Amino acid sequence: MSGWITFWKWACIVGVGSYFALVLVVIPFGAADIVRLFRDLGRGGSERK
Amino acid sequence: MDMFATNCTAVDWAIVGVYLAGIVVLGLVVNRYVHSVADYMVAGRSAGTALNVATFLATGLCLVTVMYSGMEGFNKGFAYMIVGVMGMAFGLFLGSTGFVVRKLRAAKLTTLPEYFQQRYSRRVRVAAGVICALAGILNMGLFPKMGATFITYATGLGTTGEAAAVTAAEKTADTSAPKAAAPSVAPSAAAQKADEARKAAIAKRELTVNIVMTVIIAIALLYTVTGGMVAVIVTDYVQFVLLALGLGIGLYFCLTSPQLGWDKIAATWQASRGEAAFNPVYPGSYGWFWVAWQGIHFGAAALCWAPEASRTLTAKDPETARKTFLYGSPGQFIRLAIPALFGIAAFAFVAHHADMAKHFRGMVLRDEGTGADQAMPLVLGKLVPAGLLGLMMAGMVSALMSTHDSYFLCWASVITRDIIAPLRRRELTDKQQIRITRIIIVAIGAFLLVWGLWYKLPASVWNYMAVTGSVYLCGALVVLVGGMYWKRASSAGALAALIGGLASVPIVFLPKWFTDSTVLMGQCGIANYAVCVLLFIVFSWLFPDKKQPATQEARP
Repeated sequence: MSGWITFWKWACIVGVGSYFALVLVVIPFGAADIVRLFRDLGRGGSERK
Repeated sequence: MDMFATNCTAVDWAIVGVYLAGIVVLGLVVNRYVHSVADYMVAGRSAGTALNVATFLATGLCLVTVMYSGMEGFNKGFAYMIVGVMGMAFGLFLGSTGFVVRKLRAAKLTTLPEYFQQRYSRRVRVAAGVICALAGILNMGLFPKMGATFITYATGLGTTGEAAAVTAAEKTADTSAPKAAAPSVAPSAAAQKADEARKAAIAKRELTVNIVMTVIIAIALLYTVTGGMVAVIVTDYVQFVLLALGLGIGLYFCLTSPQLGWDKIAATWQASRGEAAFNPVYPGSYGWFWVAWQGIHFGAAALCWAPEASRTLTAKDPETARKTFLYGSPGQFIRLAIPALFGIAAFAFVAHHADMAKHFRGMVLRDEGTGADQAMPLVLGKLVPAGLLGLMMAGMVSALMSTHDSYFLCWASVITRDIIAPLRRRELTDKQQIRITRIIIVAIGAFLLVWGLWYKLPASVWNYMAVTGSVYLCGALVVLVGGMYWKRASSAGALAALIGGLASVPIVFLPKWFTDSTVLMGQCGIANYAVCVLLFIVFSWLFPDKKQPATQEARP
């Protein structure tokens, strides 16, 4: 049973660690993507008009 | 102090209020960027990798995910986290190979059932659309209720003075009953009055949950109807950030609280359930059938479940679609594991508090369930201090909103594009499609309100979700993968497999002893996938398509 407890402990450490690392990367790059998305949609709208 | 009181203050409510107002304004503002049906339904297929990952994870992590995972954690312990491990493994597989997702994005679809018309026939597309919408809306049926339950208990809205009322009723009965003359009458009168007080408190809490549920549906409808997928993606990004904050705060206080901490939590579970709390296939835990079913189910959901599959379609190119799954894979673990840890911690907390232990044990004895849906948010509300609780709540409300909006839009798009449009003789204009989609979104909102008020929460919400998902996923997985990688796959086989998935519908209405059994549910789930595979192969062999499938993009 101690093997399972250790397994879950490390699964949580690795999972939580990689998730929050991902969050730190996604926040700035995601904001840049939003700016790009609005630019593309705005351009698409004016072209169609 | 009332057992249902939490640390929530006016400051916490103000934080949640500011967030909700901000998200509605944001949703309304982005409406001016919607120029076509592609903008409305798939945000012009322009989302970059980071934004797509954020929205993919925000869609997958709903407050209902937090609730059902927390409930499973409370009821079964660490063993439940095996589902998160399988989700992460499957995400890594899809993200590193591009299996199915690259081809889907390359097809430039607006909804997944469109692929079925490209590969098979219009009839298959309409059948997939009907079953997909049916399964999706049924699946979504418990979202508002679960979300409202979390908010009610975590903020202390569930405070009804129940304990005080029950004690007062018992005291009144004790003093009014002539003890010497009729010793058997006094306890009975006390019990009756206490029971009445308890029932009144439960009714009051139910009413609060229903009011909160109505407000949630109204807000999500407001910005989804106006802004479509552009609003969904932008608000999902904001919600992703808040959600990470909310999960982080909750996790920190669960693991650092002097009453809890990893070692104390693990020791409590070890003493209470032994190996079954940690080993998912140990007798008394989930068992092999359930674990295998969830493994298949997770793969099917990642590929075919429309709200998540639509993130493949919003990506700006096939490579972005693949990377979304690769980088999003830790989120597949986290979205189930952290809420499960909340539930696991709540169990340990309750075990060390006599009044709470008495309350939840009483629920089990009265056959009212384990109270897991109340315990997890209640304990979080007690652990997280005022101020930070507001931030955590904003994160959790974000989780609720981000999934509601995606699901509303997704099922409404499927009904418009894959059922109504193909059945009409004349092609629908973009404006007509957007108008119809908006009407359907409101209709789905109305259905959710009625369903949430009527349907009683099952002990395992996770099983309810898995079964309603199976209605579509069993058939769709076989038809999608078979269509891409098996040349002999035919329309007849596809239709038979999709209809085979409907075998899961009656399970939703089966008695509690059946739906609470993970072994029976696992066996049924696997059997349904097997039946769909069999139907698909047999009917494809018996009734092959006469001509080669069309390769051009499907038109409604």
